[in-house]
Amino acid sequence: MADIDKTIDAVWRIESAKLIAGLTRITRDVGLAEDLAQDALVAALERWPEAGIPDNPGAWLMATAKHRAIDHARRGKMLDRTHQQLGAERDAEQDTPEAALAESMDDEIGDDLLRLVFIACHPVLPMESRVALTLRLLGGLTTDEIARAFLVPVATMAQRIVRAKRTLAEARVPFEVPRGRDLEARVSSVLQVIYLVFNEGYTATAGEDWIRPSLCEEAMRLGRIVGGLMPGEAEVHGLVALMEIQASRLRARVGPSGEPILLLDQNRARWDHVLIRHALAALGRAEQLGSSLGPYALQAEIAACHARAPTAADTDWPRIAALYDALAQLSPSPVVELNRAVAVGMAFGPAAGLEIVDQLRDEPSLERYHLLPAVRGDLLSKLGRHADARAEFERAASLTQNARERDLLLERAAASGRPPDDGPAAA
Amino acid sequence: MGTLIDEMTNAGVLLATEGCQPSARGFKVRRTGDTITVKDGPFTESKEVIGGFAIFRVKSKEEAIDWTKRFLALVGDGESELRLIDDN
Repeated sequence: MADIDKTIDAVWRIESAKLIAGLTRITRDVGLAEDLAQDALVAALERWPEAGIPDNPGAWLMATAKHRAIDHARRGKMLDRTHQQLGAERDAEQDTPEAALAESMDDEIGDDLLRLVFIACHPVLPMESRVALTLRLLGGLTTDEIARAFLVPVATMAQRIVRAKRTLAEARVPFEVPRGRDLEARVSSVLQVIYLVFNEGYTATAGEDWIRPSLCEEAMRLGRIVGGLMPGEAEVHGLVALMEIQASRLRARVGPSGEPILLLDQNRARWDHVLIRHALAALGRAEQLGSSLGPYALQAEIAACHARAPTAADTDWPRIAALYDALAQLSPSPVVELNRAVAVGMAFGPAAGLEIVDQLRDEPSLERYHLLPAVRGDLLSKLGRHADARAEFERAASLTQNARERDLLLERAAASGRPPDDGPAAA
Repeated sequence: MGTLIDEMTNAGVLLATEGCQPSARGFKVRRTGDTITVKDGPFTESKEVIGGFAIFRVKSKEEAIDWTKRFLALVGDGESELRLIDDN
């Protein structure tokens, strides 16, 4: 009994997005489409345990949902146009098997799925609603799961989803793939939503509800789906590569007692090399598309420099510094600049790094950012200015919210009074 | 098969897959005690011959089974062995 529920879960995970996408094309109403899909799922949960799982569960769900849609239309709750369209589709199916076959062809499903992606990530919605709707409509997650993942009450999340669907209906958001000048901004919203989901999972700590870390998996899957739907968009492949390389380090970034392990100190044998290989292939696709690399692809290139290096000592720091340089020109930010300082310090010596960091000291947005004094302390200690370094590490320790990180910084502060050892860690 | 691989790739679950060439082009390396023997294919005596492999990233055993069913529906009778990759 439990087994069949899990099997239905798996079918739902594989089929639900395609189902909702197809139904949205027919009904032109994503909210109604989702209700119909849910009805079909309920029907499956009732029927399949007795009758067995059909050979083509996706087709069964679609047929069931279409019948519900016709019932719904007969009750006069849908537009005539929809009714006619449904009737015509059903006739076509009955008349010619070819028409039914053509309808199920991947191209069209792919188009519908892509339209659904753009609806869920539509700018008319607030960001948190885009995220919720994307996970619900494309990830096949339940409202309950999404609520747990984002640490909000289920009722709040349910309301957020209902309101989002209403907003889409009221704004008469068309079921289409944006074109021309619109496309770039809309793609960028989709990528932003996916990366936000990923980061929500990435920042979750061990011991929390499993659903939070699993957001990383969800985001990578969504990214790969969108990459398959828009193979010509380099930034999609860049984002997939970026997420996969970051995720490849998930199990190496925490020590046995939960302490964070810095990138350069991680055991590279524990990195997930299957993910890395897939990521490098995705990055290769982004490069082959020929246009200059966007921010996601550039960040992925930087991450790839680490992923490709067999040991920390093999890291190609001049290349990383150059990539940060490109990133800083494309999307300048103080945090990017700070990272560039670290790379420059590693590539061309601590004095060169310190020069960049010192220009950030009056940057208001970094005033309470613990990594600024942490980086500065590291560079100072490499230059042998131990008293200055100690003050910076102490300041960094006082700013961080993370207890384990504070311990690490205080250790470095204490060590700065002693003669330098030969292996300073990068911040 | 290409269509199924595309479907799996575009569903975001397939990370890698390769098909094997006929076993005539393969060989077996066996260690017995201190002796290493190399035996060229084909492996006519074997009841099972490995035809290929695929690495999936899925959420549940049931999801893995569902994709395997779609694979077997294409290739006909045969057996797929599903193993978990160590992730410690």
